[in-house]
Amino acid sequence: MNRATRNLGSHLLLILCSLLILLPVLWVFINSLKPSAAILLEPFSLPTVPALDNYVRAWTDGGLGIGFLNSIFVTVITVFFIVIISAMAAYALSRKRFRFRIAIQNTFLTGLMLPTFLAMAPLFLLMNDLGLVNSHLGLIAVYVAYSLPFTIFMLIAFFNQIPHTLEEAATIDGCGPIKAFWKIMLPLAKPGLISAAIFNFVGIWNEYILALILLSDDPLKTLPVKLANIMMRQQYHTDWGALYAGIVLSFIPVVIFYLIFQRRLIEGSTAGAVKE
Amino acid sequence: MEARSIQSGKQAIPEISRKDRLKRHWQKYALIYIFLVPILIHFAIFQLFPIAFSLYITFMKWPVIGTPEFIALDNWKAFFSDELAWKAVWNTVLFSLYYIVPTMALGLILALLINTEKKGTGFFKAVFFLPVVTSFVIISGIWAWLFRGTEEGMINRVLSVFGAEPQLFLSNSSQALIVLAGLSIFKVCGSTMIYYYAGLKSIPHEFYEAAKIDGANGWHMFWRVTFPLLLPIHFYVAVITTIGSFQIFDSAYLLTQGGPNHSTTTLVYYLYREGFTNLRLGYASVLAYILFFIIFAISIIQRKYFGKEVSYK
Repeated sequence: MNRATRNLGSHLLLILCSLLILLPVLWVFINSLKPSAAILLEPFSLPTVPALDNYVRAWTDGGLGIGFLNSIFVTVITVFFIVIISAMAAYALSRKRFRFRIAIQNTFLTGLMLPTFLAMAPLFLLMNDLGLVNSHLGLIAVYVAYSLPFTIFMLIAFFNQIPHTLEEAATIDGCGPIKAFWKIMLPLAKPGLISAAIFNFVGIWNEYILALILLSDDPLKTLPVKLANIMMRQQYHTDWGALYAGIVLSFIPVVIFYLIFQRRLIEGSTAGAVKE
Repeated sequence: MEARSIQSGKQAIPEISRKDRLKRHWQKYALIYIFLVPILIHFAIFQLFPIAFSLYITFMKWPVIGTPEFIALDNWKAFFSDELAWKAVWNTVLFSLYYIVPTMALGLILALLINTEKKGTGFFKAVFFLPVVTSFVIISGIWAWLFRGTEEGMINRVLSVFGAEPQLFLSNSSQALIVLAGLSIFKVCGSTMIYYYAGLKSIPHEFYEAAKIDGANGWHMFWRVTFPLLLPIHFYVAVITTIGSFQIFDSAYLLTQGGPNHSTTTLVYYLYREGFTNLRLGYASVLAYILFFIIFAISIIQRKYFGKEVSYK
């Protein structure tokens, strides 16, 4: 086998694999523009007149509009707090030497290794007793707690690479440790903070099981829960048009986000796995 | 304290210096008290406490409304005589058998394909990674249509072109779990690809040059050089895909509700159903612990047999 045919072969394989991913997406998009009857009867036809009412139904009746706003609200606030709080903890753990430092680090490490479902039942009881079931505040508090270990370890690694000299200079100039954190560390750590924010954003935006358990009021549910509801209802109420429109609507923000932060997401995903 | 130090003048000096010490301690460690301690408390309340508490409620009959009742080991005993729970364990094991090796193999193949660094590989890399950042809910929505068990289903239409009979897929108890495994492979192999890609990049060039001088062809080079040198990546990817596979829930809940005939009732799905549909939170916690023990045991075994430190520099 000569080099040219091998190149052609590997390229064909690459194209085939990406078609397996892209074709269903394209097909769902095309069909989301057709009335439900046409989807069922002529799935391969192109839409004659784009049936935009599918989108209206998914957005209003399906509740994706509310779900979208809820998801934006919950995700943005959660990510903001995760990043700030983890940076504070990581800074203390990275810069200070004190008696329980290793013990505290190991405590966070346990959280990284224990799977979510282990605490599911008691977590629900706890939230119920605290009156935090069915509230965005409760969901945000849980999301923050569950994302802390990963983010803290990511940022400790980042802070450890930043030299101490600038802070030391600031301390000599009479700058306290807290001020040094805000004025010197945070700006220096910006790339790390952005990476942490991007990773957590994707995770929280897509999170399903905790939102399913902790939110039961319809107006509070997040986008994945709303889309799942449309899917479940679909089984006895055949509105394929709204389902496909819903899938497209949920997919668009992911794609936009991915197009912007693609490189950071791909490169950052191996952080910690491969030592350079 | 004030009164005492006035009473005996001798003690006054250490009292002041203790105050002073406290002040100095505060100045030195304020950062820890302000930054770290509140975060630790938050973490303890919402993550550590529920985990500790879940062990306690395995010994209780704990309805959401009403008084909990101590029933000792009844929940644990119930597990051992619960056939459906054992089926759930078996389904979970079966799922990981369908899922782990294909995810690793596909990830490695994709990594080798994009590692050629030819034109356009960046685009393909981005496409393959797209399912990783897409939620299970969206992918399940697409797969519900792909694998619909009627003639209208997309895969069935493709099959009919080749003259094959339409398959039931998600409504067939021997196919449903395989379809769910396929969905997870589809979602995750982009991520294993990136791990392998990073691994391939870290193999020093000299190894390939040396092998070439020895007259090795591409096939030999892969099995004798690339594959063994990727051992740390194999290990890491095996561990994370195994842990992930035991937590499969979203697709089993959304596409099949554990059916047909309980063939996709995985442990986490069963845990969810017992805890949140049948409201047996104590029993659900037993299931959580069983799952935890299984994951724990497997990661110890993996560590023991495959986790040897490898260095090739």
